[in-house]
Amino acid sequence: MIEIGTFALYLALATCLYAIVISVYGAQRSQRALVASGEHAAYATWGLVAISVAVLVHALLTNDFRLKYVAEYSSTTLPLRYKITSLWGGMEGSLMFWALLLTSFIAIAQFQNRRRNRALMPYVTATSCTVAAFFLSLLAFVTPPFALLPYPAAEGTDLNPLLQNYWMQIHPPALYLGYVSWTIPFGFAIAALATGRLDDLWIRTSRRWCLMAWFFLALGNLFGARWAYEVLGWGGYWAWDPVENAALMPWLTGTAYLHSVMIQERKDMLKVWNMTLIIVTFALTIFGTFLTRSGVISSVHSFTQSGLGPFFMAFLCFVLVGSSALLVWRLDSLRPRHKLDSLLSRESAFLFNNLLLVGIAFSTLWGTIFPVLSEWVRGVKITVGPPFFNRVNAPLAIGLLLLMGIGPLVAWRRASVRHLLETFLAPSAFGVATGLIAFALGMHSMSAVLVTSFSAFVLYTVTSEFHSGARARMAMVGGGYGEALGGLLRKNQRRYGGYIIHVGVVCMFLGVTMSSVYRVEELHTVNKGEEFSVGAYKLRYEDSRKLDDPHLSRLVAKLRVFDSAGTEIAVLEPEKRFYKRPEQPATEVAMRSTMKDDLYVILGSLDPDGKATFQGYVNPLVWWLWFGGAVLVLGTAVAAFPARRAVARELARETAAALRGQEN
Amino acid sequence: MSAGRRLAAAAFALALLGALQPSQSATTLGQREVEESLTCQCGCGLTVAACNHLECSFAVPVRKNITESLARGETGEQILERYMREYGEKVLSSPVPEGFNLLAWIGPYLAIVVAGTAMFVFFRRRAAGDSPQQQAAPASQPTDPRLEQLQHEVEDLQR
Repeated sequence: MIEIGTFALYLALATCLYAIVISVYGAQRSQRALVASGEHAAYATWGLVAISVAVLVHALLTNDFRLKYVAEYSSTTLPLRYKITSLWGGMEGSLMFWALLLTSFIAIAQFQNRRRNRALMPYVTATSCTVAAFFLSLLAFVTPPFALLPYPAAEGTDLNPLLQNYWMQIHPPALYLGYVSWTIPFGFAIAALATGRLDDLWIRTSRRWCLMAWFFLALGNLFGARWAYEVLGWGGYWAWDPVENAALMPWLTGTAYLHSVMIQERKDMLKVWNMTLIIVTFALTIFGTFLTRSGVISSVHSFTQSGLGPFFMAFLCFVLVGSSALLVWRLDSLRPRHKLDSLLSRESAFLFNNLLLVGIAFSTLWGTIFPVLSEWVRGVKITVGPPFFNRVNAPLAIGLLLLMGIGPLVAWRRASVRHLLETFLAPSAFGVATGLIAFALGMHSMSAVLVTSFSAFVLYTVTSEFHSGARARMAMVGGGYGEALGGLLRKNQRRYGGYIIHVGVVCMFLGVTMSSVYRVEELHTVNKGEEFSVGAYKLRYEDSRKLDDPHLSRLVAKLRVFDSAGTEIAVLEPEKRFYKRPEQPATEVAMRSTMKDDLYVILGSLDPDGKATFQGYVNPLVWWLWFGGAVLVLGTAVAAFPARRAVARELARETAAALRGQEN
Repeated sequence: MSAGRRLAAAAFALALLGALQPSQSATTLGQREVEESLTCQCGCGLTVAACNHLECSFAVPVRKNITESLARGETGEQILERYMREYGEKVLSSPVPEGFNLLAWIGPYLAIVVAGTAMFVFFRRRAAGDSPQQQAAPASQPTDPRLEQLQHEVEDLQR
């Protein structure tokens, strides 16, 4: 069985290399049969990688401790769900998982384009297979997943206890889906540069891939934040760790791309910029993998460190040099045909949005690599931690929030000052009034007031966009208000899906700001039956018990929670866990989450006489961060859902009717 | 100096002021701020305020020491200096804004100001080079909201 996995891996590398060579050769010679052969080889690569991954999963499920990987990342007592998670719990397995996702996406992209974009596809295949070949080479020659131990182990070391959590089951796959998906738009961009077909065909074809990559990166980051919140037990969810930063940066540049690409589609401008953004975003996904695995910068994600850093750095240089050379070669063909009509236009707002998004990405990158720079230049080790990132990025992020409200109010091409004053008056007044009310109610933090005020401004503009759109549809096709709103969503998915995403982002801004600024934190050591306060909550320590199973021991404390009126509202049971293989303690946070705030309790220690130490936090409005994530999922679904032909036909009828009405 | 250059210079000065702000507010540090200004040395990678090890051999005594030192009348800045002397600069959770480290604080704003100015100048020049016909192109103010709506819907379907 193990031999099959190894053989499939080597064969996958061979078919992948064949696909690269034969696709480019076939395209150069205009030989369809050769191009088709390249595509078949890419499908074969996917099948072979799938076989190889299946063999590794089988080994994990059957406790095959002859394999070094299984012995290091699993055990007989590890629950089944975590045995599957072990696939991405270690370095070799995570690379296998990456290769499986990548080759699957290549196969899907080829199938989608089997009858269209025929000039681009050989180069898309070659580019994406080059990326796949890099990962398969590492697996075949540098870090083999099927390496055997000299003697089979009697028992496995087990998966890192920090990874034995529900969110860890879904966080890495979501993040990998995001990282890997960017390969396909990158492949289309390189194909456009290689063939000289630089119109917006490659953009339209790869649009849903971009959206998917962006979406999964957002989801991966959110799941990771939730994991940190529930597992790490420090009351927060984002620590500006280098590996967190690495996942945030491509999301930021990807967001910039999703906005700026609209200007290319409308005005045939910013072609060089959009190409650059795609290249940078893809390069940042490789950089993120480099950071995670190189150990160059210290990180809480050290469990994935290995000696693969130099290989990733070399590949990153290859990607950047190769892509930049192609870009420079095509620079003349990428010159824009149109010009910006006015600096007072929606195009300008999008440009400022890009400036801030890329600015935040740059400041994050700068802060992440600055310790290395400092050590090179001064020979002094320094730390660049959360206070730096919060201080530098917060003003930029607040500016971005404001722009989210400004964008929809400014007309495309050129806006008149009079028109701007008219459209800005109501939302600005609403935003200012909300900020003033918040201040009067006791919100005295400048950043909290600004975020509240700007959020109100954005929500007003988004709501009025929906309202005016629905009114216009009612006037056009009749029907009720609800029907018109549904029609808007169905027929203008991208625009209104985008607005829904903006609402989600506003919720996230509010959640992050309020939970950061107004967090309450208290530490109490109490005996059984004693009460203590955390913010407005009263907690009574009732009892404790010890639970034991072959996998872990648990110390569980029982707390009754009362509100300020003295009514019991919840029972919380924070735990201290002791994993037996490897021997490692961990905390299990207990939470009571509401829209208003989260009561978050950690059991610090439990003495033999029953005395316990609890660390409690009250995190205001943090629920809105996760809710914002759910709204973001909804918005992306609306924006990406394929428009049906029936809708297109209906729309054509309505357009014709409206134009006839206009003529009369 | 042209209006554009004056604007760029003012923006740069503002950015510089914003970046230098941490050094000015350092004298008003309280317990929480001092804890957040120190990186835990237990290997967790978090600040002393955020270290999740409740029995941490570094964060727990440091928190206690900060409380006692502040009660004795030592300022937050003095506490940070003491820890920096003992553990080196790496114990601070963000770079001291002086010397080479200033680059850490100014770099991002400088990059944004330079990129923003370049963007502004680039599009101003291109706009200045427009033909009279292009200059006179009508602004896209909506004439009929229904038509604007349809225009958006058609464009959306074409994507």
